[in-house]
Amino acid sequence: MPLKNIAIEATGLTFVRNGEALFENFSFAIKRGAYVAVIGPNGGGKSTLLRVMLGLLEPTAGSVSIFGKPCDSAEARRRVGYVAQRGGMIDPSFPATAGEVVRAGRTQVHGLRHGYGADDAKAVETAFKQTRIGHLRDRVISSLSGGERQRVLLARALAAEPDILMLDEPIEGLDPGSREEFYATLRDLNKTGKTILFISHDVHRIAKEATSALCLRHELVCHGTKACVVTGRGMRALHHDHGDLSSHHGLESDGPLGDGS
Amino acid sequence: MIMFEILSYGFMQRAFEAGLVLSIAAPTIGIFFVVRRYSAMADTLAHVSLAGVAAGLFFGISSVWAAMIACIVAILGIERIREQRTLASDTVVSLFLSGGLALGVVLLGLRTSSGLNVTSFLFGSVLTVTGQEVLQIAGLGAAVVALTLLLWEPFFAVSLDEEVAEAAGLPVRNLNRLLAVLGAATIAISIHVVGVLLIGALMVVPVLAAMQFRVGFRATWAIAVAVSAVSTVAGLTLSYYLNLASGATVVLCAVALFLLSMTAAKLTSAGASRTATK
Repeated sequence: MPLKNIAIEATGLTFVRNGEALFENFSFAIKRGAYVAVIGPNGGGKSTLLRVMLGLLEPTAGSVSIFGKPCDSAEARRRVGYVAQRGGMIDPSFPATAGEVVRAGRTQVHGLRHGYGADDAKAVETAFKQTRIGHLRDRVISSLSGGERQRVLLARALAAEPDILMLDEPIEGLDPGSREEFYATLRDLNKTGKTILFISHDVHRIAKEATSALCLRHELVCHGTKACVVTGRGMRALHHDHGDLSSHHGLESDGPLGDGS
Repeated sequence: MIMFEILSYGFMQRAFEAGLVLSIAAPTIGIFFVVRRYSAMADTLAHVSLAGVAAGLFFGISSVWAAMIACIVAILGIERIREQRTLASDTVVSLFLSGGLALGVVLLGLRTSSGLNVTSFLFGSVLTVTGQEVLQIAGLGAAVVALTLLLWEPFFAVSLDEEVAEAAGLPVRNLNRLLAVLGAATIAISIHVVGVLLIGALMVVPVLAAMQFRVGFRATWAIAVAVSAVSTVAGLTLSYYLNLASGATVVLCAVALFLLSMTAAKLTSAGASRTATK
């Protein structure tokens, strides 16, 4: 596969905390435009992996590159949008309108530079359209529902016009309607060419959306098409007490996708 | 007419000038302290600044600069101990608050024989501010406001969500340090106006009053500055006519406006609910 088609590449990744390996020596590659579900049991290393890919945590060994650049470089950070875990989100009493929150996404482009021009206004407007929340721009975030607030945070990430979106359990605790709206928005974004990495506990639902999957359980259990993960070793890793769920899903197991291929 | 009479006195003119500079600077930096839940940090730095003032008297340094240096040393010390993770964050902040105040009082006590009035540092003495001090307050206050407005968007992004801001490539740690230094500068210029024991209130109370209106961040800031300015003018005027302590009267006016805002917000919200149910 030509290098330019690889959005994210992890090589020999190991992360040790307090003497315990959260994951050890694994490698994978994610194609540009892929929609990848990151699944695994609690404490399996999903969020840590995401933070390593975002350059927030330094791996004990190995490296991650984003479009060929180290993940903690300015060029790489510029191309990644991040929607954090719902539990760690903004304090609802924070005095800000949805418009101000989305506009804050432009600091990813400007850094410490002052100024807000026509390009910024256009990017913010596009983010509002993509997430269908233009009507909320003047509302304070404390007056929004959980689903609306999550879409504001998605719009903030999109305002930086990233090529990759990394989302850490963004729909946890949302009602079914809000979840479906969120999934629909991500589907549309993926169609426009955005690479999406989505951590979720809702394996069955995310499997319908994603094109491929990564399953973590202190190691890379499998990485490939979603059929491989959802029907094979991935599900066994998630439900190791419940045996092989392949027959339940009736999907064929598949070989790994990427892996530097 | 009342204002014209007050302003015919040079000492009151200087008091209003110093007070109004502080009334803009304090909520400008205070809004970031409030939304980041750094209110305790503001109080700690204010108490530490007293030790700086006292040390400044020994070494012949201006109280404004001495207070600022003490606050910056405290910020670095607090951060260092926090990084070692041997003590909880709030414990570290309390340690510096008590230690700073105690050191300040002891050092000032050593100088009281030279006719020094300790309460003027604790509660302010805006009526005795000199022309040179007003210039110092105006210069530093303008720098605090200008820098904060220049870095408004990065400060806002970091206040909203540190982790997302760091992932976006913002230098979160340095921005936090700069915010604390700007807070230190605000505290330093406030010593003559409201004193070290009351500056925390002037940074926080107008912002809390503005937050009752549940508007956006910039609008909250604008209302907080207005509340702060009105409190300063009303407080200084009342203190002149009623012979009250000026700094404390300014803070009491801010507290009164906060209570008024809270009541108005509750009435508005109740009115809106009634309209919605009809």
